[in-house]
Amino acid sequence: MPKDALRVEALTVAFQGGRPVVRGVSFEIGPSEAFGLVGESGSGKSLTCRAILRLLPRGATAGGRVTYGNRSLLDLDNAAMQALRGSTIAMIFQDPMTALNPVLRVGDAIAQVISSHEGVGTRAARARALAMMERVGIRDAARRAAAYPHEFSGGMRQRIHIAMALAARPTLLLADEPTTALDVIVQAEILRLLEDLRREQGMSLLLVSHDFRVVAGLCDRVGVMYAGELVEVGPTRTILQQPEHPYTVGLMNSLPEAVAGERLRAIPGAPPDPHRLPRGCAFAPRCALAIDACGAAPIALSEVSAGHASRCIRTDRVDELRRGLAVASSPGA
Amino acid sequence: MLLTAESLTKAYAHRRGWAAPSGRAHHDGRDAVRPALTDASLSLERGESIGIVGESGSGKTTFARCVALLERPDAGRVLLDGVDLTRLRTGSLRRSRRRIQVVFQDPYSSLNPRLTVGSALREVLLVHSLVPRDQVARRVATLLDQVGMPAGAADRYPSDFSGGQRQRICIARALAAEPQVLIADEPVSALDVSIQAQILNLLADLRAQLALSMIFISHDLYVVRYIAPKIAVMFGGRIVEVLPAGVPLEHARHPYTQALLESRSRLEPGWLTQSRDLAADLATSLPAKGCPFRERCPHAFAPCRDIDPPALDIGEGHSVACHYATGAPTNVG
Repeated sequence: MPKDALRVEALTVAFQGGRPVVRGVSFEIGPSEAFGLVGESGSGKSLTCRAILRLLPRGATAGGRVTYGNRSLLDLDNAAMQALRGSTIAMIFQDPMTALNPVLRVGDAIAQVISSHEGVGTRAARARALAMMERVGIRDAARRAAAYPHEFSGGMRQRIHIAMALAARPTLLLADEPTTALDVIVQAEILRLLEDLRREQGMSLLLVSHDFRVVAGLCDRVGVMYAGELVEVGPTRTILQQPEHPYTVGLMNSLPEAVAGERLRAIPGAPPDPHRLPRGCAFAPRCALAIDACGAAPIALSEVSAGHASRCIRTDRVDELRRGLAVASSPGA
Repeated sequence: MLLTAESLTKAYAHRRGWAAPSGRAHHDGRDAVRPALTDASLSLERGESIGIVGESGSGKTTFARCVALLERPDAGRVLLDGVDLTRLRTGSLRRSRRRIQVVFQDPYSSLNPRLTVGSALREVLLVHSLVPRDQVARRVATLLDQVGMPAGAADRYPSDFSGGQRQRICIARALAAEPQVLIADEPVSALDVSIQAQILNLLADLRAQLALSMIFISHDLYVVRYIAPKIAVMFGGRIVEVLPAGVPLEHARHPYTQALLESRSRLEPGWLTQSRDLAADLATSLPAKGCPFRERCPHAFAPCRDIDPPALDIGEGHSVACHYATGAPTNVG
């Protein structure tokens, strides 16, 4: 099967009567590529992810263009979209309990995905469900298949959720904070499982997380979102080692493990209210490098090196933040 | 010694469905109830900070609640300035309670939505008669200033504030009681990364300015290390390792602490493929007998199955509860 690319162009998401909370997000995920979206709560990263599968909350509408291969996802009729969900593009969520049916035995839940998408018989679907459970690391799968979701621990439940999402062999997986509810060590194990499965199946991945460390483990490229916009995008290694947007630098400086032994250089203030955004750069009010021009007009995402772009007109001075020379002050969360 | 917790143990009753509570042990002892907290001892000197790190279910919150006498331990003592709090009756316990204050994880549920910030703080001052009535307003202003909130916050309600600001208010309320010990239980886990750093810096500053003695709890080893030079690691209801100030993390001897440390390089792209699997989520519950970590431990050997390893001092206050690290007991049987 030829592999497809996901192309998101100028995506907007707005709630009824409100200003857009996702504002012109564009990115592309190549075949078998893993792309991460990082941002804090309210940055629009989850809505971006949900808009792709048209799983937005009630009252929210998406604009712009989302194409997967030659299909324009925002224009498909509901039946065509439903046929695509799960079989071609699957999604996993932070809390597997919301995705698993509590009154369905987990083996049946996985088999149901297979039979409904591929039209195979019950027996064949069950056999494949068992194989899938084994593949995601569930010991004694034949016995555990008859258990209900609540009988599993959080990590195991997430494994079952993954088995269900990947059962119909999708070519693109959307993962929204898949390990946020899990303990550090379990988190690493689930991520490793996702990575192995992705390589085996040659799947593309969109991983949404608030945690740079999760994205660093899995993704080839990463986009950083702030106040509904992509503020920086580029290869993961480059962004981790040489971030070119003051917000990205601030996020890194906020992590105790990134600045061993030093005082944390916290970002002052709080993210803006989506209905009272500044005219120019949304981050300018919290930025140590901000000048008048930053607030005057919207700032374009512009390339700083090959494949690495930053929505900042002060990139020539970002180095000072990385070295901690310009320390932002003003207290208050 | 300001505060000493001695051999604290706390078990919660398990109920199995509608049947009577079952004390029956399964053949492998799995259904026997492992206490939430077993034989946990820790001491805190005046002005000292101790960090407690552990995964969910490790007993760190139960430990904190027992130390603050929010929960009566089943066994063990809590000595504050030589007085055993577990032996106090309700009235005198209430008066002593002021001296140990707790800041909780969720700043949304720990403030009364119908009290203005000022009245929440005033209440503490008046209940404990901490300042003369005519000085209450001034004290409230000082407290707000100490946590980086504007004086005008006193007349507003918790709902007017963001998560980070609410956590500042919770900290101010704890400080209002002029505690000898401040317990912060996952105080930043519910907050966004950039706000976390602000609160961590605030706690570090307050600790230095007010010479606070603090117990700081988190699931993130690096967050704990940022606040506290001395670290206690919990697993399965036990304190499995205590790393005193000055002993680098890399000198940790318990296999669980070492596993936590493997997450050190998680800001390096590709860390995922370099760390190893502990099958942490595969064990459905912890073994009731022997070392709680043995089923995940790469070094487990025979004694780990039968004997719960005691915490042994391996020099300079560095203690570890592990047969592998300290040498197995020779007189088995």
